[in-house]
Amino acid sequence: MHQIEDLIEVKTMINGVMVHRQVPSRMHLGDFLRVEMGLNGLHLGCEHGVCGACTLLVDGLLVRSCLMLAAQIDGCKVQTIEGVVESGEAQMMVSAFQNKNAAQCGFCSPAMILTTLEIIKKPHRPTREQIREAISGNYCRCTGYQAIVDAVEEVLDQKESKL
Amino acid sequence: MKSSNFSYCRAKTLSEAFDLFDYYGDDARILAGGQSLMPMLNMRLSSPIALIDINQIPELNNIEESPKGLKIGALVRHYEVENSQLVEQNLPLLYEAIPHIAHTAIRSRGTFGGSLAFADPAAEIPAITLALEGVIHVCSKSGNREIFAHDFFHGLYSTELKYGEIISSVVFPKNTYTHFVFKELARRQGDYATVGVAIAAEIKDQKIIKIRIVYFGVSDRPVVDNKLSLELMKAQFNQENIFKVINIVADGIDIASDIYHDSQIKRHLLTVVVKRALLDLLGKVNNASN
Repeated sequence: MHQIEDLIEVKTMINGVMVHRQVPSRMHLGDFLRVEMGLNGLHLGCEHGVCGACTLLVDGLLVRSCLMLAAQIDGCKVQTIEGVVESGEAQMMVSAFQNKNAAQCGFCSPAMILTTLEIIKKPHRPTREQIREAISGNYCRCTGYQAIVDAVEEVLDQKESKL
Repeated sequence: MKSSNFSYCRAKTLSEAFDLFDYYGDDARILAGGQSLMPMLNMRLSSPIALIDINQIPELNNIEESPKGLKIGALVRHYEVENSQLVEQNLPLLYEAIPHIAHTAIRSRGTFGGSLAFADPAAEIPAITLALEGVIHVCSKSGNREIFAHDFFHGLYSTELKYGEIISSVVFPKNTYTHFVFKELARRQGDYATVGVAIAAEIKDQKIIKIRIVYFGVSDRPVVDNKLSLELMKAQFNQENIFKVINIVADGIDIASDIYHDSQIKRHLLTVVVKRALLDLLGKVNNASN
């Protein structure tokens, strides 16, 4: 067994800021962002890819941060909930979550918001059924999902009325 | 849940990866998409000395038409297959199946070759590869070889791959199939299938000329149901005959239970899914002829 952890060098862009670090080989991306970078908006639930609470964006794609090593983000762009809130991109969705009471305990909300932000980028308006399918990889144990789907629909309505 | 410690090595070329295999003896694992390997590591079901990250090897990353058929590189991610026009046009069965694989966040990372190498008996890609008679191209320090899908899967998480071998691509030979259908039953959208079926068929004038039926989630590997194929080819393809043959679904195939369902229930569920699939297939045939 290896007792000493290898350190791997990574250069990465996190929420628009260039970061240069040495990371332990076995550390997953979720732990790196929470422990090393203090980005606690990302939540760790199951740590085996089922609950979806640790979902974030790597190079613009939704990814489970517990299923990716920190060592693998060398050269990648990472966006967390902090990033999309700061940029204003998440503002409509966050308001809709508040209006519809779609965040209760709040544990799933950061990843849920990142996931729903991807849904509203689709060229065609999704049905309620399709919204449910798109969030099926994110567990919420409070809302029963109804309120979350309502919130997504509210944002879709607002976007359409602006057209 | 944290993984035990391991060395992490980034291979930039295949030959670098082969050297790393040599260096670590018989206890290094390939890290491709990591969507099955990482959970195993986090749950400490697996604790290799080293991970060889092949994500940056460029030649494993293409979908292209070759003289032998459509070639899908081992590192092609599920979302790339999902958005590929080449796949949509050439492999409609695969195209239909991809949305059933897990969730968006998993499809962003999971790879075609990784799914084959992991060989989960309930996974979609091994079943599709078997249904469309894909040829798995494998490379290693000692040379390259091609493995037919029907020789590739040995059992639960077990394949023909030997230590030091890496899947480079899968080639789907051109075929004469005209109609396809894919169906699965899962407890939640994106979960592994409880049972599922992939069908490729050549149908002319309501007559099945050739049909290949593959089940997944029923045994320790994807399985072909030749008996049902032969029975279907004996008569006109219509609703009456579908109902007639449905009682021989998976006849002679041992169905394994899983943690939620015993084998009897799985056999029943498979029959339901196959019936739906065949009726769908019939619908597609009728639609095309109207």
